[in-house]
Amino acid sequence: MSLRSTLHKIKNQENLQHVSQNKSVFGASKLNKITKTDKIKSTFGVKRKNDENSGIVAKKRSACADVTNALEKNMVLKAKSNSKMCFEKQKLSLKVKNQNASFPSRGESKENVPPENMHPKKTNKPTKNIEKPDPIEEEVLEESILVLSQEMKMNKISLEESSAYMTASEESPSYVVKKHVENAQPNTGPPPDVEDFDKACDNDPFSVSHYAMDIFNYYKEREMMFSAEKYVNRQPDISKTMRSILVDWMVEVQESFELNHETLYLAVKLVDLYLGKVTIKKDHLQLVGATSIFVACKFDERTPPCIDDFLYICDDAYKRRELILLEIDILKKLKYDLGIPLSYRFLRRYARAGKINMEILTFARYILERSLLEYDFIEIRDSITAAAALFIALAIKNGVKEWSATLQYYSGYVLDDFYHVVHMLHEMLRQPPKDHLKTIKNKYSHKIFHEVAKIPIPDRLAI
Amino acid sequence: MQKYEKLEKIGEGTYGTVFKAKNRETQEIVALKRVRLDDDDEGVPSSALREICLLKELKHKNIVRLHDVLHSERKLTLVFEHCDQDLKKYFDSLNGEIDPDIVKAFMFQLLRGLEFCHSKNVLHRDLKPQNLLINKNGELKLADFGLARAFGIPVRCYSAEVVTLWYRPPDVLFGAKIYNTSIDMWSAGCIFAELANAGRPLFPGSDVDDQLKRIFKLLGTPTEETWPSMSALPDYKPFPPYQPTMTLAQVCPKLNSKGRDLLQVKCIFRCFLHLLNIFKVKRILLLR
Repeated sequence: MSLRSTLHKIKNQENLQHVSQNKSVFGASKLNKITKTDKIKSTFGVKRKNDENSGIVAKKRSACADVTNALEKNMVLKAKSNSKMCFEKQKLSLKVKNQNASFPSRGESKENVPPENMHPKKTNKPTKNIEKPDPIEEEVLEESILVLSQEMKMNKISLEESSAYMTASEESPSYVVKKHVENAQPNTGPPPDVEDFDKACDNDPFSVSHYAMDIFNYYKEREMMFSAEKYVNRQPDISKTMRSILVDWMVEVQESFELNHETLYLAVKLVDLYLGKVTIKKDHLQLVGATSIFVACKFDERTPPCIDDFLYICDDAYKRRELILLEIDILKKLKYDLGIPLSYRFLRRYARAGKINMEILTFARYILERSLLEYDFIEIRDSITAAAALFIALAIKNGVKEWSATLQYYSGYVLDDFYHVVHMLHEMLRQPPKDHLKTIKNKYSHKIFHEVAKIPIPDRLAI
Repeated sequence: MQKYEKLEKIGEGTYGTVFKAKNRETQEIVALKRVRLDDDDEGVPSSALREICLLKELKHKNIVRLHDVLHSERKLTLVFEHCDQDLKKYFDSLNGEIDPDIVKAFMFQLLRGLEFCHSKNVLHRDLKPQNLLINKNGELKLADFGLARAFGIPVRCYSAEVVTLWYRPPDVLFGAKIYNTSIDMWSAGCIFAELANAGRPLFPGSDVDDQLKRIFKLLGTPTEETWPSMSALPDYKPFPPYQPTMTLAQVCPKLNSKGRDLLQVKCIFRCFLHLLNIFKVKRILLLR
C-alpha cells in the first residue's frame, strides 16, 4: 500500500511514470477529501494552497496543516479504540502551538541569527554587572580549587595515584591547554581578524558559550565514527530512488508531527547506518524509516509521538510488534550510539558565528535538507556538507565568492576542503525535484521559510 | 539470565530495579539495572534509551561505566560497574562528622565528572547524593543518567520536570523550560553544602513552594533587579521579600572561608553566567 507499493513499483520498473498512478503515502482512506492522488506527493501541494488557518498556521510552520488536521480528526474517529493516544496527540499539537507563541522552541521561524534576538523570552537574564566575573572572587576560587586538588593528593582515603586525577579525561582534550591562562580560555582563540563569537555570547546563557568550541571540536572528532558506507550495491531490493522517496516521506512526517529538524537529520542517519549493516526487503523500507524517526524522537524530543502514531502514518501496514522488534534491532546494530553529529547543527554554528542573516541560513537549510534525499551525499562528512550548503547559499543569494576568515575559523575548513561538495549541491539544485520528491521544495516555498525554495538557481556559479 | 548471577537488590533507579550480580565467567561483581518491557509499552523507554546512548559516549573515571546492554523483547538489562555505596548511604554512616579533605576530594571528582558531561553536550539533570556512587578507593562516579539529555547550541526548551526537588534550581522551580549547564551546577552547589555538613541537606523542601521559600530565606528573595525577568517564568509567583537571616558561615560552619566563597558563588541568583565563568577557571586547572 501507499509508500510501500510505490517502492515496489520503483524497484521493479525504475520507472517514475508508474509511481504517479499510486496513492499518497498517507493512504487513500485518509485522503478522501483530496481528489488528486495521481502524483505521490500532490497531497501536500494541494494542501498548501488551501491553508485556511493561515493565522495560526503561520506560526505552525507546518505547511501541511490540513493533513495534520485530517490526521487528528481521523484520530478522533478512532477514539474509541485509542482514546488515550488521540487526546495526547491533540493536546500535544495544541500545546506546541501555544508554546510557539511565546517560546522559540520549535519554530525555526522564530530563530534569529543575531544572538541578542535569539530568545525573545529569556527566563534568566544575567544582570549587567556580571559580564565579567569579579576578579577577586575568581582569584579566591582559583585558589580554593588549587588547594582542593593539591590537598587531594594527601588525602586520607587512598586515591590510587593523584597524577591520574590530573588528566581530566581518558580521551585527551582536543586542544592544548596552556599552563597558566589568565583569561581562562582553553582554546587558543580566533585570529585577530576574526571576532570571538563565543565571547560575544557570554551574556547569552543559552549559547553555552563556554563549552561551544569544545563541543563542536568534539563533534568534528566524532563525526568520523559515523560515516555511512554506501550500501545500495549490497541491497538487492533497495535503490537510490527508493531511498529518496523514503526520505521525502520522512520530511513529511517531521512536518506533520512538528518534530525538530535535528530529529529528522538523526533519523535519516539511522536509516543509512542501519542499511549499511542490514540487508532488508523493500516492503520493510518504510518501517525502517518510521522506526528510525521513532528512535530519534526518543533521543531528542521532549514529547515523542507514540507507536500508534507511527503505525498510523504507515497506513497500518505494519504491526506494533514489528516496529518494537525493529527498534531493538536498530539500536543493537548501531550499538546504541545515537549521539551523532549532524550537519544541521554545524550549519547553525557556522551561521551564528558568521552573523549570517535568517534568510540565507534558511536557504542553506533548504539546500542541506534537499541533500538528505541524495544518496551520493551519505559518505560526506556532515561538517563539510554544512559548510558547502552555507557557502552555496551565500554565493547564489549574495554573490559571495569567498569563504570568510570567520567562517574558516569556525568551520575549520577553507573553500578547497569542500569545493567539490559545492558543485555536487549545485548540480542537485539545478535539476528541479521530481514530482514525487517535492516535499522539501514545497515546505521551503512557504513564507515562514522566506520562500527560499523559489530563489532562482543560476546555471553557473560565479565562484 | 545465564551470564550473571543475581546476588541482591540494591535499589530503584529512575526507571528500573538495580541488582548486585556476579559475572559467572569472570567472577566480576556488577550492577544490573533491569527494565521490563511490556507489549503495551512504547518499546524501549526513552529514559533507558538516553541513559544507554549517553553513557556509551561518556567514558570517564568519574562517570559510572556501562559495560554491556542485554536487550530482548521482554527485558532490557544494563550492566554497570559496581560501586560499594552511594553518597547518601555514606552520609548515613557518618554520625555528623566529615573530614574536610574528603569533602574536597568528592567535590573535586563530582565537578570533574560533570565538566566532562557538559563538554560533551550532556546535561545530567538529576544530581543528588543517591546518584553519586563511591567505591572503596574513594572514587566518586556520576550515575543514573535516566533524566540526562544531550543539548544543542543554542539550547532549546527542554522538560521542566527534572531534578529532584531539593537539588532543583529556582528557575526550574518556577517552571523554566530553557536552561543550560547551570542546572547541574546548582545541584552541585547543594551537594557541596550537604557534604560539608556531613549529610545535612541544604534545602530540604517539602514541596515546590517550601523549596523556594527555603532558598529565598537563606539567600534573600530575588527582585527584578537581581534577577531580571524572573516574573516572566511560567510558574512564577511572588514571595515575601525575605532578607537573608543566616550567613553561609552559620549554615555551613565546617567550611573554611575558601569553601564558603566557592559555595557562595554557586548559590547566588546572579550565578547563571557567573557559574559558567567560574567553571571555566576550574576546568583549566583540572586539565592542566
